[in-house]
Amino acid sequence: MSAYQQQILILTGINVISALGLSLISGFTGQLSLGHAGFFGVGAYISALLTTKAQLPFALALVVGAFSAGLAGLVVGFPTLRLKGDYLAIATLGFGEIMRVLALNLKITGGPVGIRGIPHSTWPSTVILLAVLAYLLLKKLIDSHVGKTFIAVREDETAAEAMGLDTARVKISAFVIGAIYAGVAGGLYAHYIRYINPSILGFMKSIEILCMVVLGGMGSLPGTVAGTVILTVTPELLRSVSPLISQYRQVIYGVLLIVLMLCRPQGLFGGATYKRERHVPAWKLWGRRESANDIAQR
Amino acid sequence: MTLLNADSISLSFGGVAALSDVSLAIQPGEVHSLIGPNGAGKTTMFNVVTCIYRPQCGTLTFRGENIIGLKPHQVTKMGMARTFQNIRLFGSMTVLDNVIVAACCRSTTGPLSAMLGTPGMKREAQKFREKALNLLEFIGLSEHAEDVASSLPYGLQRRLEIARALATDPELILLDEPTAGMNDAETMQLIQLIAEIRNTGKAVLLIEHDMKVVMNVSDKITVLDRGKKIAEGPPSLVAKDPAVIKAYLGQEL
Repeated sequence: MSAYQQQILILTGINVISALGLSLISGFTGQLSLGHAGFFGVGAYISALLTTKAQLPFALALVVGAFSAGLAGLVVGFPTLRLKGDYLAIATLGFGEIMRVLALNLKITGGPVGIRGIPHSTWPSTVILLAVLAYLLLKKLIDSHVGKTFIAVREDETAAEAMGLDTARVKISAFVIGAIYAGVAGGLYAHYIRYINPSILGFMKSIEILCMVVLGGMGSLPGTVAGTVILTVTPELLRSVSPLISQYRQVIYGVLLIVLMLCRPQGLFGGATYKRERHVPAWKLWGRRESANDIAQR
Repeated sequence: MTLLNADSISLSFGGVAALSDVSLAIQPGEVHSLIGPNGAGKTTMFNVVTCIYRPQCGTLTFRGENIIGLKPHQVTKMGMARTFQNIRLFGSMTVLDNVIVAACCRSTTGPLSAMLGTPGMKREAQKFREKALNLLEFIGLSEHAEDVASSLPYGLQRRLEIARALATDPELILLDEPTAGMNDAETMQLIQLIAEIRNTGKAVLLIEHDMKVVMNVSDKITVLDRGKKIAEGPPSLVAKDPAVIKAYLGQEL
């Protein structure tokens, strides 16, 4: 395996871990979050500071970084008790921006320059192992009766509350677990690239991860992995086809996203968990007022 | 001891008095109906009792404890469950999972134990599954256990809502128009079901427009009109009450 291929593999694995976290928050619990890069950044910065400034071993730094991200998830989780949908999205977006601006202006984070000379401690085996572990743990949660309470909050929060579920607690749990996942991913990233700056906390990074989850299908674990692999590998594949395609690869990438969303608005694997709902392609819906769901139910 | 005691409840939205000075007492094991014309405040009363709305005046106790200011899920844990007038199932989940989720109201397992698959979590999962299967049997939905909830016919969705409410182990179950949209045969089955629920010792608070159902199953009826209580008593007396007849049929000329 060439170094280039290895890099794609590692970045895919890191994105998978981060996207799985967002999948729990947005895909399964239904809380739209636009600040996922914020959690990723907390994990990256804290772990990098610990290994460079405090000379802690990588494993310990990774754990502390992940838990710091989890703590941030707890803080962000509280607004979700009052905010829904678009309003929550704006609040989480604000959180991501605060993290970016903090990293940009604090002395300890190195300002716009960031942190350099981070020890190289992330190996392909580490990433693959952690990605598989992250997947299995989340699958265990989602398949359990406890996991169904997360989905119930997504399906109908009022009904879930009336059935005696502490929906506030469920939502905060989702944010904390999702943030820990992003924190692990951030720590791995920092110790692979060996250089981080505030751009990893940018809004576009959050959107990128959200695209992976949505493309794969909200509420599907295999979908999240597939979406992540496709969105991480495709830009690289386009780069190597021909010079012409390479030049326009970002445009092609964008067009691919639009086409995919038109043809499968529920995502690649969306609805796979509950197969019985019939899929209606987008072009049959043009000019109609009913949703895909109404038509599928006929 | 009175199970639920609502005393002089008032609630207004802007200038509209949805409820004014309404009192309601439910004894353990009784079927109590709440009737009245559209807009009388029946569902508002339900939402007050289940702590979705907070009343501006009045006191509300359940099993002797004040419940004003509690969250809806806390009230459910104390033993009060409800169904919704406009069905609110967890649409994409299976029928069985809908009931299991409601049973999770009594869960002691956290997400971490679930991720690690601890023995305690597995025992609990098994327990809830069996409980849910028993409830589906009781309600007559066993053969639909693995169907997606939103794919059920309307009448069965209403029955599933009742099964889901029962899964929280309530002492009092509130049914908001359970026969709305049902045909005669389904309505008869529902009357039977309410009698069976009552036989298990649970109290029922029922909002219903179908007088056949109300007269058949109720021990006591409370009549609301424009946010005020206009009559209360056993079915035979309420049916003859002039104020009730006036509210339903208009004033005699």
